[in-house]
Amino acid sequence: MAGLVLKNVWKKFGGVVAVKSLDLEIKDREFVSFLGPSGCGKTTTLNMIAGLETPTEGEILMEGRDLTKVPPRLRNLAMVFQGYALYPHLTVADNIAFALKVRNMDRAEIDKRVANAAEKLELKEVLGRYPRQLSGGQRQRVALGRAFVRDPHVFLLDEPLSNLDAVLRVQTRVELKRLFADLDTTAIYVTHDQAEAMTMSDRIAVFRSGVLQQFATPLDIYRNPANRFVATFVGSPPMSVVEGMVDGGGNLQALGASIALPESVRQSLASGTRYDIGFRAEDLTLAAGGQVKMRVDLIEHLGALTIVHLSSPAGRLIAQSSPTEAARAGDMVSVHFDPQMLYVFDREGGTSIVTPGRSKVN
Amino acid sequence: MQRAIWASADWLEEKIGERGILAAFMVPAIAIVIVAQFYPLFYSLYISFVDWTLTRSMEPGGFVGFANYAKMGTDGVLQQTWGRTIWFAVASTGASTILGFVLAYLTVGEGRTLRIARTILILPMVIAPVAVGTIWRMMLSARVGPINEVLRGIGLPAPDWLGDPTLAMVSIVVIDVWEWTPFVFVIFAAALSSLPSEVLKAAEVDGATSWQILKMVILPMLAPVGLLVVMFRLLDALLTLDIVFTTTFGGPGFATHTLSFWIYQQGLRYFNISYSAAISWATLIGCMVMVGALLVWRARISRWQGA
Amino acid sequence: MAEPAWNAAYGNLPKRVVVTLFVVVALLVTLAPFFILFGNSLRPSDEFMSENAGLWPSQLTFEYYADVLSTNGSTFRILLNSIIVTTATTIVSVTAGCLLAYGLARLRLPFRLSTVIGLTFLVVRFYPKIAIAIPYFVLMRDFGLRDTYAAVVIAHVSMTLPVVVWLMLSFFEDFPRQIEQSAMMDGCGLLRRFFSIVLPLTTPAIATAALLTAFFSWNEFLFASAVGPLNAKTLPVAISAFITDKGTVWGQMSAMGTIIVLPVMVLALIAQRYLVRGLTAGAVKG
Repeated sequence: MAGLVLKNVWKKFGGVVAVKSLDLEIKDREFVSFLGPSGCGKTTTLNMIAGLETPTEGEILMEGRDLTKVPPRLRNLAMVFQGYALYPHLTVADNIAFALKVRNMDRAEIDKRVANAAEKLELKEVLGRYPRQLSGGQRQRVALGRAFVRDPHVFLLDEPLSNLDAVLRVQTRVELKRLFADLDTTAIYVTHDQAEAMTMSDRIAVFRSGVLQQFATPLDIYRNPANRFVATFVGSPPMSVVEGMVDGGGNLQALGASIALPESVRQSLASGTRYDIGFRAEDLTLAAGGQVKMRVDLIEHLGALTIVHLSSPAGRLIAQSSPTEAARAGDMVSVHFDPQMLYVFDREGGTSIVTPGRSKVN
Repeated sequence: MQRAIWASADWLEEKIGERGILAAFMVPAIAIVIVAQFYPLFYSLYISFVDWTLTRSMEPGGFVGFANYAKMGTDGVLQQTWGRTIWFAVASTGASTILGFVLAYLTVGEGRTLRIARTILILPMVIAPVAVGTIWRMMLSARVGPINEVLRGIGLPAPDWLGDPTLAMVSIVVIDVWEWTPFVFVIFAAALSSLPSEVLKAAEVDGATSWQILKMVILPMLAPVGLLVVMFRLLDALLTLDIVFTTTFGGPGFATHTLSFWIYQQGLRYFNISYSAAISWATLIGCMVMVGALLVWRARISRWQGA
Repeated sequence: MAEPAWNAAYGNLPKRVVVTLFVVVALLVTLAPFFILFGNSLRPSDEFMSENAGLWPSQLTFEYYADVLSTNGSTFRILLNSIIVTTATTIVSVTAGCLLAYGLARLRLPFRLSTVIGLTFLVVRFYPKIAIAIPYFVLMRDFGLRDTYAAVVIAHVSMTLPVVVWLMLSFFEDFPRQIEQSAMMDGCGLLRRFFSIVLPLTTPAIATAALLTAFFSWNEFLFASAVGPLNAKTLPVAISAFITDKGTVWGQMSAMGTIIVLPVMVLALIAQRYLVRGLTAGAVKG
């Protein structure tokens, strides 16, 4: 049973197209992330699902019902805003209870639900305080509580972690994941942080300039990205992309070297054509007998691992190495990789032609 | 030339230091206000304790303690005026606050027509109060005023707005509301447009109808500003003079005497300077008490405000 | 960017119609009196006598304006007086006010003292002006300034300073210190910083303060009549002298009224943004 369906949804603001021809089917109880850089249309899409914006064209259906013209309050969704949007003039308890009061729910029932939410979110001590007296983390939990008490059909979250400091962000990410695992409802989570999207979602929808790039599971997006943009956007350290060409002998000419290709990769490529070749940092090793020789530009020691920035006249690479990596800036090193882990993209449109997700036999 | 000026400025700064210059900055304004406001104010306090009637002498007379204040108790006109002024202030404040808020609520938004409408609605309060009085005196004229002309034209009775004792005061209320609703409007309009839009969107998604949003979110959030507005309006209304002066001049009889007008009459018409000063100070104390009460109330309902 | 759905002008048709109607009526009520004023200022005097003269004059006459604006007429003198008083007040008030506001903002006084100064300035608003008109009159008499422009200007300045200071104070307090600090590093003394850097950047606020002050002074009646030059009245004083109800002098009265009202209206319409900002400063911030 499809939970939420978007059919050919467009959103234009005057002459600007914010969302273009969007088709999306979100399953019931799925946790989906909308991922992309600023201005890519993810928040606009969320707002349209919420009913705060109306699509210029297209339809939005929930469980078969056409919601496109229905006002937000009748959609049975809950939303957590980026700035939390707490009611400043109400206490924490009243903030959480607001949506229930608006529906004229029975007083006892309201109190029960509020107490429940407060318990789950560790807000019991601050129930009588006002938003201005709370810390960022507490405010965020109140925003969550406000959404939870309503038992909605779908949860919408607009970058809920972006206002928290780095440490709190990681902690809260884990808490959120636990909460939603318990809850087992449909959720749509908007973020520009690929780590959040990767760790939390059942599926990720990647947006760019208003167009949906790919809608797949995290692992799928990682190993089988639809195009160069998705491939470089997801993954940290980011993927390195260099120019390359397959010669008549079926070898890849890239980074100043001739690299042998396995049949599974070579069969999809045309000789004589130029391609963009992508390498993930963790797939590169600094070891003797590698396919290319490069010069170390910069070393970044992160403690748990080391990032090595390499360059050669024919291109640059970023590799990930062990914490005890001994190479230093200026050294010439040999770099090794498994050609089955290569990503190959079309130079014009960026569509992926070869990805490890497809080329690996196992 | 310019260099000479800066050079002397630097020389001065060296002599008295930055703090000295800043202190010097503050002197002119403070001096003017002390001379032109505080000195006369306290001088009038002094006057209220002496016996001074301008007809008798050009100089203040002897000390008479609270006699002038006691006189207020026996002044029949004052009793009535006092009650009338309060009634007027409450009526005018109530009407203008409600109207001003409704207008602000109905004209909120970015559209060009709305902006033009809002600009027009400001006008009555920027023009001279004496002009306001003059215009309305013409409009309400029983015989040749346009309002009565229109009323007669459609067959309704055309009363003597400014000549009938009860109607006259009502007319003053209407004129005051016309003049000062823009003030309430401007403040509420600004307050409304500075409400955090995310909070209002959250209320929408939470399921509230426009009416519920107004009642449960907008009004409570505007309450502190609203109280401030009410305070300013009450104050201005209690001290109204210009309108009365130019429309009815207190008449017919004493029917439209406001506090300020009676003070004016006592002082500049009957020349009872000390009595006039006494009433003024009593009024001042009363106003301060009211302001204090309202500010305390406001502090209490704004506990949630802050960061 | 959608209009918020709680916006009353949004939504179903009947609601929108009622709202529009209400606003239109409000606009008409606001504008009608001005309409009548302008009309009367152009109406020939015999029309004032009749009971059914119609809302707009059937013939237009410019005699009243000619009278007011003719340079040897007495009314022209009155107009000039208003201009003199207003200009002088605005210049003095804005200058003194800016200086005081800057001093308060930068001179880190013990908290008590600056609050006291701030509050007392506000108190000036809270009592009947008539209460100080008489002592002020006596004071001016003692200084030999009775019946002079100076007396009126000083009074006006003292009444507009609180507003100017209130406006400029919040502006100066919010002024980014870093700009001043970098000027300090570059060797600018305080006076130089204030005049060459801070002031030019606060012109919008100064414009607002000047606007509000000018309006007040132009419109002010009580002090202008109490202590102003007897043979050199300002417009508000002159118009208050028309106390007859007979309609015989309504033409002149309306012309004078129009002159009092029109410049303010035009300026308000043009500078509306500044005006609104000035009027709401502080009130909304709470």
